[in-house]
Amino acid sequence: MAARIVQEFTKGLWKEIAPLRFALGICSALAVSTRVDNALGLGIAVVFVTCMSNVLISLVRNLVPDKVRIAVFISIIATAVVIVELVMQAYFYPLFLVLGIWIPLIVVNCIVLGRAEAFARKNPVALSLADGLGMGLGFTLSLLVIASIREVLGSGSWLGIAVLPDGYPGFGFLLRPPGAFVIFGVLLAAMNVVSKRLEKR
Amino acid sequence: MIRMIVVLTCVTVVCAGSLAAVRLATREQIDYQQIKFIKEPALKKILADYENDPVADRIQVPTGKDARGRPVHTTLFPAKKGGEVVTVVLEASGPGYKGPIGVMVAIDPKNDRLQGIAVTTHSETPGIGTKIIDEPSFGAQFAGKSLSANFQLASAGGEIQAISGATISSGGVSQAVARAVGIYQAVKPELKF
Repeated sequence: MAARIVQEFTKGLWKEIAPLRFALGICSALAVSTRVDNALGLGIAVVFVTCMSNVLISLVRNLVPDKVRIAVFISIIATAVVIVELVMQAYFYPLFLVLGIWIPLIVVNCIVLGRAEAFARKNPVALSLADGLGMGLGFTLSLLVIASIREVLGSGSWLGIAVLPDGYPGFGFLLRPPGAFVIFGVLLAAMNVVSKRLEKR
Repeated sequence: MIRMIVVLTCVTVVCAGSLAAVRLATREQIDYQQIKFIKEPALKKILADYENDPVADRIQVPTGKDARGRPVHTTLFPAKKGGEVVTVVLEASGPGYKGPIGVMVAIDPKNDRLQGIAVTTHSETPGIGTKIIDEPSFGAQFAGKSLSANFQLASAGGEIQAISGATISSGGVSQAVARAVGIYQAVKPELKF
């Protein structure tokens, strides 16, 4: 069992890392990845939501009739998201102002409903929690990588601290949405190359 | 069929209940944060010297009723130094060119004098009506005036010089200040510092 839990957790971090393997959830990922701190904020919010929704959905999985399962899942997910939104408003107000609309939009993030549908409704609670945690952290990780590249090359800083020498002109293109797509595409290609090399060995 | 209805009802009831609980638990903190991040910059502009957190020490006083008969509250922000209230700040609004102009007014409660004003919210024309913010000499006129001064514009017989070209915006600010002073004088007997 323990080995299975570890396996379900780690698959979300590399083998099935949602944004970079399946291009899931990239809408919000590309939108908030201009700065590392924003990416981290959204990532933590998503981790909380995937964990909470996976656990709750796994708990009620045998009670919910198939025909209304999506409605039940969405109610649970929306509740988790609003809790995140309220807590963030209460304790991290500046972050809430920056992330704004992207927090309520976690409800329709395909990773969350995807994991509920594909995993949590068929598996016990412990496995679902591991899966939710892994998938959420995988999303956070992808966001951090994209945001790091964009922030360092785009504005010459990382987590708000200047890392490139003064006078770095900044690569404004990367901070705009098209730049996000370019970085995302390059990362996808790099992931595929690395994976193929690893498989050959 | 019945099972579906029962399950859906139970799930939504539990969801709504937990959301209500979280809302109740975070309400005060959210109010505080909103005031802190939206009003505090304006507070800092007009308060020179204070030691407390005026947002945390804010007091709400009832100031009349709205059109539907519900009580309206005004929030007062006391700034303290050495345990004594040195300034009371409150916000009021006056009609501008395109909508209400919100103004924070700092009042010295001992000498009944204005200490300063700052515009918080407005939708005036950039470059014209916004002179009420961009020209510091306009706002500076209010500092030091007694509460019994006539805050109307000079053209209406008052003591405030309007900015030429921005008379309506200037009038909105002076009305807002007059309202704030009116509210303060109405609630002053109930304030205990």
